[in-house]
Amino acid sequence: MASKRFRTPFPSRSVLLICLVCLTLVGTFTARQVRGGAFALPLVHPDEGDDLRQCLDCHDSEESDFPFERFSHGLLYAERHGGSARGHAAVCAMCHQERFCSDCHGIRPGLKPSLKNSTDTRRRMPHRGDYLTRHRIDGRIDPTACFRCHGSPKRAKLCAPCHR
Amino acid sequence: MGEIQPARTCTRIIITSILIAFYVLPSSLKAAELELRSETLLRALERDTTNGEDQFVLPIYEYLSIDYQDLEEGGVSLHLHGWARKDLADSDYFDEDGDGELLYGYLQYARPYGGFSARLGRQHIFAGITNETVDGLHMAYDVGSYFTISGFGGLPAEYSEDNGSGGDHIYGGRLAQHLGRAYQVGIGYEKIVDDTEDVSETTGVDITADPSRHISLSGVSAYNLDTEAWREHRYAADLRWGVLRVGPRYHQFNFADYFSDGPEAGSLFRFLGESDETLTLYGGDAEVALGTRLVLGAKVTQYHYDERDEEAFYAAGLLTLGRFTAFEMGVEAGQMAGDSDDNRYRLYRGYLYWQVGGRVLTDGFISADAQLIDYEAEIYGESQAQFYTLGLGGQVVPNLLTLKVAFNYAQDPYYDEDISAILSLIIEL
Repeated sequence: MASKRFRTPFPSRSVLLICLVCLTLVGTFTARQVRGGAFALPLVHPDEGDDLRQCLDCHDSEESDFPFERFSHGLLYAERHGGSARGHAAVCAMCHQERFCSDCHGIRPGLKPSLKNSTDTRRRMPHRGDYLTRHRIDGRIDPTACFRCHGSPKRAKLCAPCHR
Repeated sequence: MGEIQPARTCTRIIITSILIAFYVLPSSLKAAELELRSETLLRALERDTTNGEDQFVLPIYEYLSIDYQDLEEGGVSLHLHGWARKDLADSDYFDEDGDGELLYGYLQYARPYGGFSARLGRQHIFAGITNETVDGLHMAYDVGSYFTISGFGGLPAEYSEDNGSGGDHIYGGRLAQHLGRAYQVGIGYEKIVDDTEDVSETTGVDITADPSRHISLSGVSAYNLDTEAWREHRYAADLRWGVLRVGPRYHQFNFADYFSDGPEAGSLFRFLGESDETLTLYGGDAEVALGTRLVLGAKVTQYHYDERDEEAFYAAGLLTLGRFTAFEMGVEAGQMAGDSDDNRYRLYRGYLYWQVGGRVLTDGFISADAQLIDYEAEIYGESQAQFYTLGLGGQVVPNLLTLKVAFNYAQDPYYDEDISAILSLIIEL
């Protein structure tokens, strides 16, 4: 049973139609009023600069239509990069080969990322150390976080030996 | 059959991609670069297996990447990445797991500053509501300056474990309207069918916005078309004032709609789909730079359950010195405070990463990590877990061969004095 608080007054596919119509209207309206558009990007970032993780070391956001601040890798960037990658994956791809993402997001990475990159202690990686014990608690408190990566049949094989 | 078919699918994809690549690439890539990266990892550890206690396990992993592309002009490119494993001690520790996986393998067409891109093969699609690995085709096209439309279709690679890939398919798309840095709003659709049975049908909206250099917003709402209710809402902001950054966030999940991905999908979570629970997370993180070397950080999350009327709270503080400099070290302390002793722990971590330079190896480094966890309630008679890592490495042959080694020691409720090591050999051409 679904919770009533999440239900909409519209038939399911009407939601899609309504959104499409609104987006088209907004897009058409703004196109006439404001100069803009998607970010035009090179395939790879030029190999310049001392530290490509800190965009603002070289780029001045005030003189650009690109949100450099969003992509500067601060202390906790690894834990909040998803929101940026969801809408701007092409920006990530300018510096990162896809294998970098696959360490965590791959269909079945083989080794957990903190083990594969054991010596890189600077990176805040999920499941570092004794996560086998800690996942009992984290999983009870927020099972949605487990499901996001281990919900499909292939990825759930990792859980199967204990959770049959 | 379930074990064999995914391998066949992968093999077909690789062979097809390579054949197409050999046909297409020579004419389209005049200044192409071939990049080959091999990472070989050897682990040594002891585990209890069905053959007995303290069995020696010696797996060797090979992660191989091939990228063939023209970085300046773009065009057609080839990208492959996968791994394989062999237990040199011939134990049965990995008997229930596969011995390899193609993580991705696709042909791509893309031009710098171009408005059209296409990928054919195994690929991970992460855009809007979609976060899936697909064996198929994905295309994206900028319709003028303000719209981007994309679509994909093929086999859902993560569902081939269930009776092979017969009857499986996945398709979907996204329409995004954007206005430079000001905002991007997308609307997406995705349907997954496993063995001719619907797994999920989802639509939803996503947004990223940077209305000023001080504010960034990101979020997604996904709607389950099968249950006709919202699966989840996840929104976060990023607020910046000089050296201070604050990132509030709000997530909400309806279990009946979030965990309802078909009868076979993730059976581990199936019972949660029968719950009428709603979980709401709110909190965020913050960091402040004090001078040029010191960064302080904090994380807090409040968990609220509607149905159970329970709360949990996680808070952590971090301190880092010399972030991404030649000598970086940091400490972290966190506490999970659940509704009962079973759901409470305190975590302490310290690490360092020291780039010692080229005295012995080029770009040589020494790294260390220590983690201590106190569990409020005993687990298997233990109330504490410890984990220590010592790592070192560097380039044996500059820009060609890198060697890394890590020694681990763990003592926790599952393992008593667990000593292991991992050796990593990276070759880049």
